[in-house]
Amino acid sequence: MSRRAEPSERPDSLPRFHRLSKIEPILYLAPFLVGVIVFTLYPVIHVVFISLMEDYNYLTRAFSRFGLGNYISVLGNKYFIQALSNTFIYVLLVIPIATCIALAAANMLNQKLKLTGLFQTAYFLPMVTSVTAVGLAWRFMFNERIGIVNFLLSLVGIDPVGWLTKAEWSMPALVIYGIWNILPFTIILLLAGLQSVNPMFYTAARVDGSKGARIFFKITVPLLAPTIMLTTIVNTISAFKVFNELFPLFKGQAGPFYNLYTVVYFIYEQMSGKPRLGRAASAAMVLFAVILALTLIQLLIQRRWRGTGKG
Amino acid sequence: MKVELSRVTKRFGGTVAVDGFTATLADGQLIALLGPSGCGKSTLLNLLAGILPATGGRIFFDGDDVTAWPPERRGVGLVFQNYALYPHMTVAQNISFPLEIKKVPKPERARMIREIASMVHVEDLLDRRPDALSGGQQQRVAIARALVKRPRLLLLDEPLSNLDARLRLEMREEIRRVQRETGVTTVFVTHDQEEAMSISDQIVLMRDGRLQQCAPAQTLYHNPVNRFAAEFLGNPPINQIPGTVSGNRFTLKNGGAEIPLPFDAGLADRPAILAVRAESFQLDEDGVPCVIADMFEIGKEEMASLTIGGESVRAYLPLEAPTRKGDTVRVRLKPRGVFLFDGKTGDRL
Repeated sequence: MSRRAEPSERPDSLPRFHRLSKIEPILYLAPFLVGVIVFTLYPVIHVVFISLMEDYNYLTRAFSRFGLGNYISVLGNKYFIQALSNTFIYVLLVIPIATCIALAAANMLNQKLKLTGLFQTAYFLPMVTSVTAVGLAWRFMFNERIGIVNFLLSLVGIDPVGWLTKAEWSMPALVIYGIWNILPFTIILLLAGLQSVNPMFYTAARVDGSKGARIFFKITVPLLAPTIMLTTIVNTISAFKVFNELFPLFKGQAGPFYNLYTVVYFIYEQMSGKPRLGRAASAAMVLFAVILALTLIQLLIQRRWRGTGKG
Repeated sequence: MKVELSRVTKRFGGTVAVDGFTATLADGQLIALLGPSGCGKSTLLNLLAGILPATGGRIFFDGDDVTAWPPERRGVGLVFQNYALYPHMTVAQNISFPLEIKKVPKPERARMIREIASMVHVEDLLDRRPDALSGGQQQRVAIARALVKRPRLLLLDEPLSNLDARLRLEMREEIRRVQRETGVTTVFVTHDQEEAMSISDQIVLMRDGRLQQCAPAQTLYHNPVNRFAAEFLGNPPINQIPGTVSGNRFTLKNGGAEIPLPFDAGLADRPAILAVRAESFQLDEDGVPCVIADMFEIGKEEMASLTIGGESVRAYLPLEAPTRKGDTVRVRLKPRGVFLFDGKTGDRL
């Protein structure tokens, strides 16, 4: 305040004060902006350029050709195509299953039952644990001979499953772990959504003669649709970037026989050994395009859904 | 449908919301459940709907003991204070919802929706969502949704409290009209005595979870059973003067005056509260002298604030032009609208 008051006492300095007041907000923002520009904006834009430069050398900044060469080579790479299809399968399995389980769990936690507090803690625990550390724990749980998963299956008479050693079981193992991983976040958001639903609607439905399941599907789920949409979008984006889940489960390999390539794993592999920056960058750009397209489609669906019936 | 309540009690933990409530609600009537906020009237409505289980007592619908019946079996239609229209459904879908549950065939459903929608005048709004409706329109839709399944009993929880003053007048006439047209026994909760008196056939007056009086509005007004009933109905509120009654004379507690009563109370030296409605004063040459503390016109009526022996009362009096503030007039009590109550229990003497 005192600094602002000063110029008004000396009218001759007014223009300088005005100039300063225009720069002032930018000065305050500068430290943060510098961080954003250097560590977020620049790398993002740089990746776009790198993806267009063939045989790019990060140190010398040399490259052989500028164009779509990297994209052609990546899209023609059978490992990348496999990675893309694996990632799609992963997303298509994890998101619907996780959303359904989360919806059921959130609905259960929303009932005032005994031990609700205990279950809430149990469900939210994965949220505060490290994906890699828990991934290692899951590696033991999935162990063919000593793992608890096979032990539980043996109780119902199912023979041991080679979760982490057989090609056909590695995707289910990854999906199970992936679902487990995004459940807490999804449950928290859905539970918050459920708690904001006015209980009056349930009473109204009950008086009209509705029972549990019908109320759930006809009242609860539609009222929760915006929240379900939000978790689906966020989870889809994160599931497309599946890598952290893969790495600890298979000791850093993409599945027991390198059969579980995912897009991010492909990018990671392009960068290990002799780094192929251009290819890695163009693979990242393809992933970005896929996620962007899907998110836009989801938003479009949501808008259309919201727009219906408004007369 | 005739509704009988027999010693119905509802406790929430240590609090008694409804206490040994016994009443009979006649078939085809519009009944107002009237009482101050927190007197348990909404709880009683929920007990009738079956949303809350009764702690004690029995509820009979046409002689059937429905106390243990769940809401859907009771065949009641319920209109919520905030209407509780499903926001994700259109008006038509909202009205259709109870019918779908009853598995009414589709063409039949469409016919019933059209019929009820035109009765409550929402036939042009069927494709709208609730958030595109005004408060009054939402109310109409809520009534349509409650009525479409042909309930035996229609329950309305503070149906007019969310509307502005003008709409409130309009909607209460509408509720009356729809009730007459359908003939369904209807109970509506209100804390507004004027609302209750203007449209109901019968008023059930409640206080602290207990029934005070169950009677038509005029009976309740002209023959209240206790001080609370006399206080709660009427505008301006009934005048109350503490004192002692002896035969047909009432002596003010502060000794400032003696008022002749229009009836003989048959009591001697009994402390009591004299309650007089504002319209029950009459100018009389031989009456009790009182000073005009203030005068004001309310519409076509002339209202005066009088001081009788130190006590302040409000009275409708046909005062002529020369009368001014500070003048002394003489008044007596009319036979109607004058009651004596016990000062402690509030019982009518």
